[in-house]
Amino acid sequence: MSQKILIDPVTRIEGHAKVTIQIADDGRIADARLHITQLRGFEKFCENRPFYEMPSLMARICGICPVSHLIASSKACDAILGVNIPANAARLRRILNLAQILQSHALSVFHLSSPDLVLGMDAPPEKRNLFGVAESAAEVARDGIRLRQIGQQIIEILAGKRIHPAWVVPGGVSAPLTAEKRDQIAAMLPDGIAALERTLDRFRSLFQRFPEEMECFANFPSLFMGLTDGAGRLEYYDGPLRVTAADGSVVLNEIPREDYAEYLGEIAESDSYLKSAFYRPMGYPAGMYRVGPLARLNLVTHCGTRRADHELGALRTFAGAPLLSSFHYHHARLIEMLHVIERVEELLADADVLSPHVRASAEPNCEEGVGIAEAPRGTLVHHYKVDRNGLVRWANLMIATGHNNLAMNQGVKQTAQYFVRDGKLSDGALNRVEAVIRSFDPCLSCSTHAIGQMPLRIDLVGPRGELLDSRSRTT
Amino acid sequence: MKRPLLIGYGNCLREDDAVGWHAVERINTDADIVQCRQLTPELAPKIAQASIVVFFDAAIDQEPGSIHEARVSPDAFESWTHHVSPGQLLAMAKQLTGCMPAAFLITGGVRRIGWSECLSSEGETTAQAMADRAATLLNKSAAVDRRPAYPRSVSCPAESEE
Repeated sequence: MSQKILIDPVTRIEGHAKVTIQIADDGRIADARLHITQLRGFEKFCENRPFYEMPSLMARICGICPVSHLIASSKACDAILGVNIPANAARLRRILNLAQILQSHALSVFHLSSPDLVLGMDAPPEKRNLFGVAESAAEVARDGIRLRQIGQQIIEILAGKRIHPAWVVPGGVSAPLTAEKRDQIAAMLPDGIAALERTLDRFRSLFQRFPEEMECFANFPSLFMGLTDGAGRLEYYDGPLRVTAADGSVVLNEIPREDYAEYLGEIAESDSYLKSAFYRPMGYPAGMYRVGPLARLNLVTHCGTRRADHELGALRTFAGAPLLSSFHYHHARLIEMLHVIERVEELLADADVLSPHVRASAEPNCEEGVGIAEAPRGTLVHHYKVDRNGLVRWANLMIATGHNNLAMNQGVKQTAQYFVRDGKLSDGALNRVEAVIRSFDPCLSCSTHAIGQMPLRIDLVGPRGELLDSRSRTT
Repeated sequence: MKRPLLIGYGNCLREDDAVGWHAVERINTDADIVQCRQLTPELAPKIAQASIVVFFDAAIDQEPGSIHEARVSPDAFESWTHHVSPGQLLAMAKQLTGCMPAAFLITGGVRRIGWSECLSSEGETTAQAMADRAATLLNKSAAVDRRPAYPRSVSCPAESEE
């Protein structure tokens, strides 16, 4: 008799989701679906607002990655103004975006996923949280907290506050960097490098304890997409989009920013508020692609900074290239964190970083603007159309988690097929189904959501919808 | 030298929910001050470095205007949500650094938590009362710190041979 397993909610992710696993009559996993159960509606309620309000308004989408929205939104507004922002404004925005990636990756690796990695997927649920990690590996928790602090402090120093700062504006940024602030930021960076080197020393061997998870955590061919700098290095702020295949070949070298919709489609599914993105030339669902740290490392020949390049080389030697298993998202995040700190060091050392010329002024000159940047979880697109008075008439956002939706669904199915047998679901298997989603670090919004041991319900449902069995755990 | 740490938390867009946030601004003492919307693990290392920690929060389940003071003990970690408790932070400070200062939680009873960046007049009074209670607590603590240390050894004057 076919059964359905429901995991509701999925824990230790940013937002609200549930998973349904459909078991066929013969006990095989017939299908698995990730459902996003929250509705936000930002694209609709920004209509008829002035375009220059968009960065601050859109930043409210998220409390973890508001800076990413601030930057993509401001870039779309720059396009509406029709200006090239001053070079130092772009430099300062880059530093802010990198700090955002650092703090968000620290949250993902240490606060959300390190309990699985340090304590094990089968550790008692009540221990699988940062406090549990602090009990058994204080240094890991300490370094994670410090790295997140560094990212947050850089954002606060640059932009005035850690969450929802208003410093990034259409045309640039609202104030230049002072020498004092530059020195404050620079003074924190060696600490960050040291924490990351300690972490990588420990995690390299930790990762090798998970051969089964490497094998089945969304380990399949897909396309990969992200921004590139044109020279084969990591890029988070500007440049065209590149799409590569699972064998590393380049499918499309440059998608101009304004043409993204010609190549990227979205489909709404009836069982989720999260749309599924796909690469149009290959259709749906064959055009499945991944974005974020794993994809970014697959798009480049090298990171472009010494320490991160060394670590990327070590990962490629171990796991090959391109990296196909989404388990490697964790290692990719650590490499990106290292690169981020090295890049911030470089940008702060630039002779013009204190230049006061940080904002271009103009009236709206174009009726449409597209802004694309790399958020921690992947490519973020903001696209607005305005009327002659500068009021927004239409908006479209493509967010990293949407790009990854097809791959997350397929990953859940693959993991369930590996760990769920005869309709029996151990707590460890349940956690692995959640952990494959965690590896993508989906950001479904930062509204309140419990983490660690959660109220968790699994319903076994028969073919006619009858409840066959139910298991639950509560906080 | 270690200094007192005052942590006021609450939602400063929700009227009297921010009494803790406002209370720490009214304390005239040499201390480090943190104002935040919620407690997070990032506070643990800072707590570990303090001489004494006082948390300030609003309490909807207390009589409006009433002030409650309690010693904070380290909490266990049976469950962890987005709402980290003062006791969990204290325990985490101990785990991460081996240091755990004395800590207190001062809560002020509130009933108005509407949409506002300002305290109600009742909230203003409560915030001041919380600040006064904390000042007394910190003075007592400082007085204890100023007591002469008990001598570890006492040397007796040499006995006269006479």
